[in-house]
Amino acid sequence: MRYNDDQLTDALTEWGGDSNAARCKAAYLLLRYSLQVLSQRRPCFGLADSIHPNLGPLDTLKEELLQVARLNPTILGPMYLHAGQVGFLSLSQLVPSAFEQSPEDSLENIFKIISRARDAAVKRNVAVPGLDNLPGLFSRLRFRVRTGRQRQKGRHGSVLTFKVDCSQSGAGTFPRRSIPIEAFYEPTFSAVNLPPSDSRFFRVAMKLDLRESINIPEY
Amino acid sequence: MRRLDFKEASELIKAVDAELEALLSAVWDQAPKACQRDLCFFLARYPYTHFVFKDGKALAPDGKPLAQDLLVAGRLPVGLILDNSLEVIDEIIRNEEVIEFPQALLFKNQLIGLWELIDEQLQVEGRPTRNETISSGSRSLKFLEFPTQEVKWNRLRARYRHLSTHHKESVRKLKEIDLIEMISEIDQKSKQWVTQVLYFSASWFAELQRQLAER
Repeated sequence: MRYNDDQLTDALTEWGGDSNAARCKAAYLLLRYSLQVLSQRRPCFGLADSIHPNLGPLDTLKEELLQVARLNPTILGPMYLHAGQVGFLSLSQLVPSAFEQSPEDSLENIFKIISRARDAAVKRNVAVPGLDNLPGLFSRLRFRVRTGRQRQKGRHGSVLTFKVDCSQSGAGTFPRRSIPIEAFYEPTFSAVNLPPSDSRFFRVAMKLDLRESINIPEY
Repeated sequence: MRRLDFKEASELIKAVDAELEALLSAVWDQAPKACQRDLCFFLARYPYTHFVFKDGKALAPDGKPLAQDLLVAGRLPVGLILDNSLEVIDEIIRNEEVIEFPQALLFKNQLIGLWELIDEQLQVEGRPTRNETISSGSRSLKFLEFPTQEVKWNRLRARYRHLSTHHKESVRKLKEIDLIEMISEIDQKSKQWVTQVLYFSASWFAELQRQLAER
């Protein structure tokens, strides 16, 4: 499953209007990985203990490491996403260099790359796999990003959780709609036991949702 | 790695894939008596995080290259996963940092090297060079909370004295797998967890070819 030189990469780098290689890569991986996770060809992350107890010595790691440091005992592990389930991908762990500074702005720039590439493809009447059904794809995605800018009150005040609407082309970027932080994590984490606001995994992360049947084409 | 004859291995195979065991049994029954002892298996027990393949090279559980006579599909072995799981890792290098991200998971009763064997038998041209990295269990496990803060790091250090003093930037760059491997007590204990793979001897495929040619 390697697509280093495919049409999607070319479209994002040539038409995305951003010369930053890390952000172009992140845009590519956001689309490619989420499409592959939703079509069950690539694993995403979920609770390791309840779904796949056969991923490693989870009890040893919990007892000898997490409990000793008095850390949250939850371990996330790779899993295939099946109908009715949700999972997560960490963009900031996949492409750390794209989010080193100002992760919220970086994510916004990544959306702009995708938006510009999609608009250019439409204008040129070129079908680019991965860009041709963005509303269908993004309807299944929710985003979570740590931010120092839009601080709000509360335990998770410096965290933004939102979905994006990419149904309209030519807008330059995608309008966002905030969602409650509980909605981002449910049903994996309960409202009283949300991941810590400074979680490394969730610094810039996506929730992928297969709870309703929407047709996601395979790529 | 332990050599098992067919009688010893058949129970293990039957427990994970009864249909495969029945097919192998038919091949074994039709093999000449003199050849039956060569129709054997090698049981490999890979401790947690040990590589089964590294950059396309098949490895034994001790990290040394797998015995040449087990490489039946080009440079690859054919093996049956008996329990737990293997993780196929995409190794991505960014800013000189190696990121291991899961690409696929392989579970009990899946065969590794099967498609490569079919390609080999069919003499498919232009086969890609295999460069997979596959580990026993998931090297990509993520902790919801990591001991990045000094107070949490020091709790670990109070138990595991050989850990270095807290250095913010160094700890930030650590991945879960690095931390596990850094603490020898945890590393040793976690390696009691193993994934077992049953490799086919090369004689199985020679015998299979012979029987097919006779039909």
